[in-house]
Amino acid sequence: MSYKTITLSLLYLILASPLLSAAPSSEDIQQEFLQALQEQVLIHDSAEALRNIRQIKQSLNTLQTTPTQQTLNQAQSHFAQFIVSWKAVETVYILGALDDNYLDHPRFIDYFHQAKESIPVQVEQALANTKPIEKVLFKYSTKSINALEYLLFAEPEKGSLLQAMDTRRIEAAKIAVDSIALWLGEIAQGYQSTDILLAENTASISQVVNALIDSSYKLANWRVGEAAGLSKKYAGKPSAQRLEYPFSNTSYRAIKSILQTHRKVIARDSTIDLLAIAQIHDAESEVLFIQKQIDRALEILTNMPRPLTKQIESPQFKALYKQLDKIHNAYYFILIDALNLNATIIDADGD
Amino acid sequence: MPMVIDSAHWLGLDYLFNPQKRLYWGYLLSTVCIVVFYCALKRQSLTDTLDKKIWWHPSARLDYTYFIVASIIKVGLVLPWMLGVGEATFWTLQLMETLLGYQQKIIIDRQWIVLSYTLALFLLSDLSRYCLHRLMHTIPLLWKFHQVHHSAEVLTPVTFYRVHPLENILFGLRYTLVTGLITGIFIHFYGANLAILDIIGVNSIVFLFHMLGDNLRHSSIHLGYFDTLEKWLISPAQHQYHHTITGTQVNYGGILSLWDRLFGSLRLSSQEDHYHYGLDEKITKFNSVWQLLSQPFLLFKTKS
Repeated sequence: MSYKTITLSLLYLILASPLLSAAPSSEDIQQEFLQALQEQVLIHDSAEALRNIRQIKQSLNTLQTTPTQQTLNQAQSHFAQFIVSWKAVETVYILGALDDNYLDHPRFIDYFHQAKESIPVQVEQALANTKPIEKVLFKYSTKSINALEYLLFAEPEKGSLLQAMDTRRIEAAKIAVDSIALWLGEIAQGYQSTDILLAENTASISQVVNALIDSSYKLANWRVGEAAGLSKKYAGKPSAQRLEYPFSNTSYRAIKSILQTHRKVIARDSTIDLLAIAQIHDAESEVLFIQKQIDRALEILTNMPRPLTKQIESPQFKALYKQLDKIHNAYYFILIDALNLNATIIDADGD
Repeated sequence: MPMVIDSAHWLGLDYLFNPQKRLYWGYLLSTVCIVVFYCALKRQSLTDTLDKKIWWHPSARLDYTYFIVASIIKVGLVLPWMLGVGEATFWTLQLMETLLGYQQKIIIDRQWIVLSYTLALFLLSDLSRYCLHRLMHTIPLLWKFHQVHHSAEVLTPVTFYRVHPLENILFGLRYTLVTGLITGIFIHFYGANLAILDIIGVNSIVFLFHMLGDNLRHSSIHLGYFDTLEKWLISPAQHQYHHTITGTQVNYGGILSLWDRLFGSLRLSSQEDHYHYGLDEKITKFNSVWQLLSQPFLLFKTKS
């Protein structure tokens, strides 16, 4: 074989090697993950939440024309459905991190753990006021999900909720619904724009992981720990009023939806393959570990008697808190493993 | 094949192919290039510069044997017990959340996070290396172990690994704690946006210094960086002076000489022309692998 043949063969191999390689690159894997996430979670769940909030509006119109227990129940049922889809959107909310214009949207919709003043007090003051309702409900907090929950579920001191559901109260609920629908509509629109999410794979994936870490912390500590009196702030002082939805008893659904969304993003059997990305960074075992912990948390939650308001001091509720805390810590271990810092440990010799 | 790789790992022969190590072939190649350039500039003969008297000196031969024995000890005895950076990072994160509460991740451009993390790792790692190195000299108990490194009578790149296993543990712990602390703090504030600006898996700043002749620190090439630069970076000649019998109290720096300047231990290479390496012969003998490993313990019986 001549030198010329060898040189040409080598040149061919070098040039053709990218084409001969069948394995997808890490860029391809990241892109696939983001595309699946965008279609199956971000766009899907925000569209679903938007559909659900519009259903509430329709049921409020029906309730206004036909104020019966049945129409009230229907509005309440639509609210519960909305909570499930909204929590899915909130769990992996990355739009704000990708585009500053969307940074505060979730805070305009959901006031859990934000309001310094009591939302029920503010809503009651607005209802008692004689000025037009749209003028007194000017704060985002009084147009939030939490205000809407109060309007649709809080039993009045005297009489039934149906009796209290007068035109002003229904109008107030409609204002809240419109406000939520407005922000949610923008979120849904934002996720439709493919270039925001797919422009920078690594940055987008980092934001997804950050969102999951954030959500896991708030789930364990705000949504369960504080109600159970297990958090540092409320140690030994359990209170059902600290549950996310104390009036509607939808906290159970909210927690379940959050856990299911986590599972949807990371689970091996999901079509959104975070595991493939974890494999690139040698963090596969951590992702599988989290999946197991999420399944265990869902099991504890499913087996827990309801409503949660009556469970906050139960051993099952404490077990749920511990399990959720484990999930939060496990997310940190994914990050640490992905940085692959252990490789250099023995090289730290003296000098 | 896996057995061959495993054996190479135990004997430290994989260092040649691992960019994390100073003996990586790329760094050695760049060192050779610098030596050739240095000889041409100084109009010195290459064979005179790379004298057999140095690289086949009994002290150098002891370095080669010790390198293999120390590698087996490190892989077999030190590494399995070493605290992982992951654990240190996680502890830092737990501590941060306990002390400061949960931090909503700050959103800034990824490139700034990566850049500041890389820089913080480099600076804090180099500072802690300076501090520990200085303590190895100033605390009598630690000096007993660090004498092993300073007992070399000639310097070759392999002398870098003439370190007692106990010193390996201390420097390993330093690395773990510093890296864990910085990584924990960065994850606490920035979350998943973290990455090291690396070149073939090595912190890019460290890679640059390895390529620019880190291996000459332990060599007979007295390469100085001129006074101005030597106030910022430790030159090979400065580190070589640190290895002389009279120079052990100066130039503790790893990469930056800034720390030496700030803490009053800087000596410029232009101030010295006499390089006599090793320890005062009255102190003790380190002439075999066994002596290198056991002398520090035997020294407990004698005054330092």
